[in-house]
Amino acid sequence: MLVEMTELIGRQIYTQDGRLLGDVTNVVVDVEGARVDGLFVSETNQLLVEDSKSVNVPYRWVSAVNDVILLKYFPKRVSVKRGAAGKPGEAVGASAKGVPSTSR
Amino acid sequence: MRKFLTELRGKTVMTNDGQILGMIENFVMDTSSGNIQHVLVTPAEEIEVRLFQTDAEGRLILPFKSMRAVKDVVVMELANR
Repeated sequence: MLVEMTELIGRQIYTQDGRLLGDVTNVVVDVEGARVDGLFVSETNQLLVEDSKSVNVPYRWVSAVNDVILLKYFPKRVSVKRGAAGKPGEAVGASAKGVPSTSR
Repeated sequence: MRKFLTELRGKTVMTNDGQILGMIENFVMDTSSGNIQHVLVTPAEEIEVRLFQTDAEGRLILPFKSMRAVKDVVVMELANR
């Protein structure tokens, strides 16, 4: 289905088992690849993501986009890497990084 | 290069010969593949809109793949112009 990309902003994202991850606050664009890299969620469900940190959900984890967005995969729990939590202010949401390193 | 959608919106779009086409308003994507197909551009006043494909709201429909440089402005390499 073709949509205008701003329509995704504000939509709720649910995991495969029906938990609300949060609302899409931005979309990360892969310019060279001409594709959506991920959906950025800035206030996440703290039961799924430690400290409600921002995450960029890889678009390959998306299964459906309609009234809400459904994921086909999301890690059981995303935790903040202790080793990488060095510099203050370099929160996961500070740039278009912060993709949970779990791959499929 | 990865960019936020909100960073790209509002950027000025130029052709590679320096003509200003307008401002990025939105993008059209395919939700099943995640591929971005078009850029929707609000045309600048001096643009001859008839020369372009436009949507119902008068926005220019340009292929996303023609986007070259994406820095302070976006440069488009449009074929046969």
